[in-house]
Amino acid sequence: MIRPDMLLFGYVKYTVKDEDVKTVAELFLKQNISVRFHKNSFFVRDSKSKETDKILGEKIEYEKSEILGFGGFLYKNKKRYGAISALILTFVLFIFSSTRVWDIRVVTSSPEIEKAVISELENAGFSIGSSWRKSDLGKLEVMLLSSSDTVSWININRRGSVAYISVIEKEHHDEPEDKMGYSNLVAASDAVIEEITVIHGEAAVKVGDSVKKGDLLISGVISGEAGGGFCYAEGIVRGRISDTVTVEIPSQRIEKYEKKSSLCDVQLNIFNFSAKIYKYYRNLPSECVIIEKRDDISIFGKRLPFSVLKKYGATYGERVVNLTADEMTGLASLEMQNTLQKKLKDATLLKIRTEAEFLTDRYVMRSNIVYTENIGADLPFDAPNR
Amino acid sequence: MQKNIKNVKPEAKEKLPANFHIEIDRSKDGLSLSVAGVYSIVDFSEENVILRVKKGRVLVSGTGLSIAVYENKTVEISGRITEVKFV
Repeated sequence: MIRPDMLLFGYVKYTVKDEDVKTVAELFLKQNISVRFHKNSFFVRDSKSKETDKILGEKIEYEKSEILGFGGFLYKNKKRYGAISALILTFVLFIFSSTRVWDIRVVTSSPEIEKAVISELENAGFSIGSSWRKSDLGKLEVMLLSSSDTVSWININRRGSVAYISVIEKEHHDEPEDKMGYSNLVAASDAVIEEITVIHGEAAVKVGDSVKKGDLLISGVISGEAGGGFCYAEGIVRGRISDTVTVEIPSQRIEKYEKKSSLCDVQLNIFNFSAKIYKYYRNLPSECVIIEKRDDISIFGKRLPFSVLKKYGATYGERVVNLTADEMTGLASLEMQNTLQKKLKDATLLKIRTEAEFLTDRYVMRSNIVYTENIGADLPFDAPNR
Repeated sequence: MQKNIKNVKPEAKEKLPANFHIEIDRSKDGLSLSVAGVYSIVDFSEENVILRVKKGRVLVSGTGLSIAVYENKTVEISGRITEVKFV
């Protein structure tokens, strides 16, 4: 794509022989001038054409076009004021026309779903800058539903130049497994039995019994009085568990900070086209992280189909930071909360007592918890051969 | 008369670009490969491009290759790139 500044201010097209492309590229490389080749042609700003003629000199045979682009048009028609005014008006009307998609808005509360839907739409060829006329919204909806893992219903509506997409997320349910073979139900942790309900098998414990991890809760071996045989023991066994959760926060931590960040690449995106404006990787250190940042352009709150993509080369350093008492307490509370949330996801908390203390090099928080949860775990076995 | 060898100045060394760096992006035609720290373009055709860099020579092979040159010794090769290797 021709750079927008060249289109606007005028450019000249140079054509060289195929075998001279390498030599010409090398000349520009040594002169530190940016040039993009299209087969055996390249374009330069009208203001740089004299310099280019000098570089090519008499060594290279080339053809040079007249001034092209909007700048060229103005130059050729500099006295035709009516034509120029009409052109400007047409350009303005085009910019504000509604033949293209200017914005896509996904109606959902989940940012992950929004990203996934926009990505799937882009893969299907529908994005900002797409032509409304060429986009079959019905077909897009069907295509998205059949290929999407995240959406169970989708509707795309056009309002002016904005596409509104309503979605309903897929809900995933676990299918119950058909259990084969034989198994005992044993204790997954030390507990006191609070409740036992046998679905298959024979109970080996009763309410109030203390069990250790691995103890038999429901047997898959059926006694002779009950008919004998073997089965896959199933049931709900809830046990009361006492546990201690400890969180330690050191008084010092290593923190990463950004040492230096340098701009190394700039690209302008207009509708579905992109034009590379700037590349500068020369002084980037060998160990750096490339960060991409996209800036959308808006006028009066309306997002335009233009954006600027910038890449930065960033290097990071590490430093030791001393935490204050408040910071240590805050971090410890947060970590304790997260740990307890995970631990008690399927449990019922009965009692919690938390204590904490500052030591020389850390802060320690301890929570003594009592809770009930399902403690049964399958332990398959092979029936003996008769 | 003997020539005074001490007064003969050595030829000025070419100022070499620093920091060889390669980056790959997707483009409409396939891939776009940017190589920074290029000393010279050894060879160019639509199937093969050879660049001289600090670590030696880089060969980029593919089809429909086109080239762009940027300031500060960066070369970008676009097209259906199938292989990149040091030669």
